[in-house]
Amino acid sequence: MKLSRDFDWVVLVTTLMLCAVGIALIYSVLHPMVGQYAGDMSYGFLKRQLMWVGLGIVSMLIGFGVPFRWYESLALVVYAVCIVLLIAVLIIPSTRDTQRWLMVGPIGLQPSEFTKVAVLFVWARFLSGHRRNPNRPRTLLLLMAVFLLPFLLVLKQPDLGTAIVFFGLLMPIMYWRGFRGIHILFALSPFVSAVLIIYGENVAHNPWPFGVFIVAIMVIAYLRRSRLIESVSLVVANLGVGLLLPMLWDDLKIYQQNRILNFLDPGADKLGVGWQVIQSKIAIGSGGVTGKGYLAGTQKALEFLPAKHTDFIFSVLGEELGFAGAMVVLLMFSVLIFKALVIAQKTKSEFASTVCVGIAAYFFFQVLVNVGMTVGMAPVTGIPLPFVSYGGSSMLVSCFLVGFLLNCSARWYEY
Amino acid sequence: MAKRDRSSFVAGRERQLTLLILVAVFFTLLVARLFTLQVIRHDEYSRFAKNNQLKRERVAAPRGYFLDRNGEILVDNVLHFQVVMSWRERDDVAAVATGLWAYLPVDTSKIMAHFDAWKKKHGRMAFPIVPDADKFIVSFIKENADSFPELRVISRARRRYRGGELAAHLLGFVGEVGDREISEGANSGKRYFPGDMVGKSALEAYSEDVLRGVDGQDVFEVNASGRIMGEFKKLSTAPTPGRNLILTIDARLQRILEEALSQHGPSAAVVIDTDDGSVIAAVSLPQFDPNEFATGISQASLDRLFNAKSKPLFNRFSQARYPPASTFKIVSAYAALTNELVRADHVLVYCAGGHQFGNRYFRCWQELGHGYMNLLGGVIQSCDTYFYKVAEIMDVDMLASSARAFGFGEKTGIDLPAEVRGLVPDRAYYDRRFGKGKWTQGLVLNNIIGQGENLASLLQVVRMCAAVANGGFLVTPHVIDHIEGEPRVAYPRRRIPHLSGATLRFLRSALEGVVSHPKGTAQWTRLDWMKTAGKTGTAENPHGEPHSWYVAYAPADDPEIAIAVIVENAGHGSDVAAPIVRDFFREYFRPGSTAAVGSDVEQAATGGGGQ
Repeated sequence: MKLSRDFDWVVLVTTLMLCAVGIALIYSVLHPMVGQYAGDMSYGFLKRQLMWVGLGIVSMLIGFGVPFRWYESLALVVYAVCIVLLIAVLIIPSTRDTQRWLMVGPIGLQPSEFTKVAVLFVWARFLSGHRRNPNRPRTLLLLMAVFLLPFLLVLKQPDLGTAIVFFGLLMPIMYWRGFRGIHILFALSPFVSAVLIIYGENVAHNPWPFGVFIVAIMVIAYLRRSRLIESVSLVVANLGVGLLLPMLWDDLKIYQQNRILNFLDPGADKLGVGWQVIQSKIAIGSGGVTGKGYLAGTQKALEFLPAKHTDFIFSVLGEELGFAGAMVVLLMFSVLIFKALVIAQKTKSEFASTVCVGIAAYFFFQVLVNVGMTVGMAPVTGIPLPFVSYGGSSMLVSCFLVGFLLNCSARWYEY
Repeated sequence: MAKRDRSSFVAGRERQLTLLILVAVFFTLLVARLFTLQVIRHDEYSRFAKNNQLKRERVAAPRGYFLDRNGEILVDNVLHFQVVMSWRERDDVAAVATGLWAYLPVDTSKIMAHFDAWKKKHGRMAFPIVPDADKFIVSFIKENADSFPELRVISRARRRYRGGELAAHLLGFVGEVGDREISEGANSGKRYFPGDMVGKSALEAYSEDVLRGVDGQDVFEVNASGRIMGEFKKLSTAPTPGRNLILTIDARLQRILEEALSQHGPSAAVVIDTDDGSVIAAVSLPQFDPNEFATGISQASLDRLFNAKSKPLFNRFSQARYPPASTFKIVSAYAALTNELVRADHVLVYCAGGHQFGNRYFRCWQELGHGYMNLLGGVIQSCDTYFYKVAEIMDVDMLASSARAFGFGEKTGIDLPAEVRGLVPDRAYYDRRFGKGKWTQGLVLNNIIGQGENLASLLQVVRMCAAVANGGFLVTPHVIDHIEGEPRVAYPRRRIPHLSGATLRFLRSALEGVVSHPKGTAQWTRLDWMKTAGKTGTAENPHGEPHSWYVAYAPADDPEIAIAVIVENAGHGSDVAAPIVRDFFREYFRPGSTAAVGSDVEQAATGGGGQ
């Protein structure tokens, strides 16, 4: 059996271990609450997380079982379904505080998570085989369009973090597919411009960040000796953003503006997010080398960490299992990312290979942003730690991606 | 085919390696950061974790003031002191309360009852053990800080309405934030905490976002001997105070108008600048003292305010709908002239005290009759019979669209919450209410004299009057002149459609005639030294005596202000409301009066007059 010979057991075992770590930590978070609240209520999270791991394994089997050629053919269909779901979320009134959730019975799902996979598939499809010459500007515009539609829908729901992950996925796969540097810059620069304009106007109160950036891309375009038409359109696109953005900005609601500003300048919100990060740092720092011991954390009980079972679960890890525990978990993620890149190299199908690089980027960004936020290095966004944080949508997506990796590892010889 | 293309597929080992190196670099940064926190600075962080020494307290931002147009402070804040206790269990609180009781005039059982209520509502927030501390208590706590380490004195700002009841319906009141406001605030980026005071009505509510500043916070260690690490010190921020609002109100005139109305029962009045719509005074009586809400109103007072038959919390100038009565004849005359149903000087009827239409007899208010009437006389003497006759040939929608042209049936856009629209009945409305074809033209006979289904707010009526005075512009009545430190707010105004110069001249001479003509219904309000113009009204009302209306502007030749007054259940407009206006004009235009001299508001807006 060829399948079992090439099956990547390391990826599977690492994933399951991470899930186990997540369940153990969620139990630990809930542990001190049991006395305080009704027992059912608190263990409800644990039961549901176990259910999500179960469903995650099913999702992994789907990712593994279906030949990746099918995904390549169905990419646009999956994409269309996700767009419909995103629009549905905007229209259907939601019981939760922000419009990110789609209720399927009692279960809340976040279509924006699934959209990441759909966009990745469509990108990979466009970029594989003879379909598109990566170095033609039209390809680039197409890639941007694929991503812009869900991006704007997601931006309307106040979740900038997810939107940024899209860019985190696009850059590496463009690089992987042999894009020229100027094109990668082209894809990235309008977004950077937008951020710099908002930052300059609202945080730094001067136009320098954007100005310097525009000059910098002109210099880079000149030094790279790119064609004139490319350089000109690069600069025009960025100046266009500069002209349009202030208008769009005024259309945003105050709370949407605030979300973006808090993202760009987390220090400004000292009462809310800033305080949260400090508490997270105290928890992690007080863990020391070996931690206070499993279930023995003190900070988690104090209600200082609001999202301690979801986005801030790494703080609990750092407190109870210390630097050593944190290293082990980071190592496990490194293994996954490394394996994904190895499989990407090995796989013969260009589509599958590109998706594998996207998967590596996905895990990399989620871990970097999530852990970075708990130690005060990255802005606080609603990005969970894959497999470990409590939550369904992220679990289903992460498991599916691992399934896809296993799929590629076993069928690397297929086109 | 893909195979052939393999060479151009650049994803070689080189690119794989680059990506791996990038991952490694960023993860190394994370590891380095974790190493710093968990190994190098472990001791510092564990000190904070161990005793939970790091505390923070919110520093509430002072709420913005209200000032009148002359800079007089109407609303500000005063400091009062509280002794608060950091969160402790019930037994500890009881022990401290007993300790205080030994020295101070405090009631321990009251404190404990207060604590139980506080805990239920506010959870683990610092508990105000003495909510309103006098100087003696404050100095005692400060001197004996060692004996009571868990107590601190904090100062809190309390809203003070300097004029008491003055302009209560304009200013509004503040109250403790509700659970719904907290959760809704969180969605729109505002952060409220239990115990915060927020604007609950009128300007306090309308301008909540401007008045409320941004709270700061104080971060400190509970154990005074410890030093605060730099990064924690940075977390302390000073609050940003709320912005002050400069109102268009003139406190002196507001006082005078309130005084004049208080001689009567429930009543309301609005004075606006005819050119830009700024509200100079706006009164609704009876009113209330907003200070009571600021200090925590007692249930008994609250019940009294809510249940009183005269409804003191009800804003009669922007939230009440009254039949506009004969003041509406301004619109009716405009409708008749603009649609060329009548000519102004053409005698149409002989008024013998009423008008037979179908099987119903419509009465004129003047039972003895007015004799031969043309439109001018119909307005000056407020002859209902004349308008009944006009209504026979006027389409219901014609009247409705004329009313809308003068701003009836829509909000005036005043900067106060919960303004009413009033009601302009039209064909669609009657079809819906009575069924198609199941109503008669008789309804128009009622509408045309401002009765029947016709309902309007005082603001709409005063705005109609101002439009006649300023040459045909519907202004936006407003109370906020500007936010301190910002340019004056520009309020829109629009031209009344199809209002010809001739019609306008007619309306103005008719309203002047109401005062100056020997048979005018407001002839008693004539002033020797200034021409004024107005229209009386008597709103029939099924619940008792009719309401008394008077709407006017002055000076008639070069109008500055328009005023509308309604006194509920007071009888004819000419008897009660008109004299109030006359007295106000006397006061406003009195030589040397502050208002009459150089009102800059007027200068700013005359440019677009277009008369």
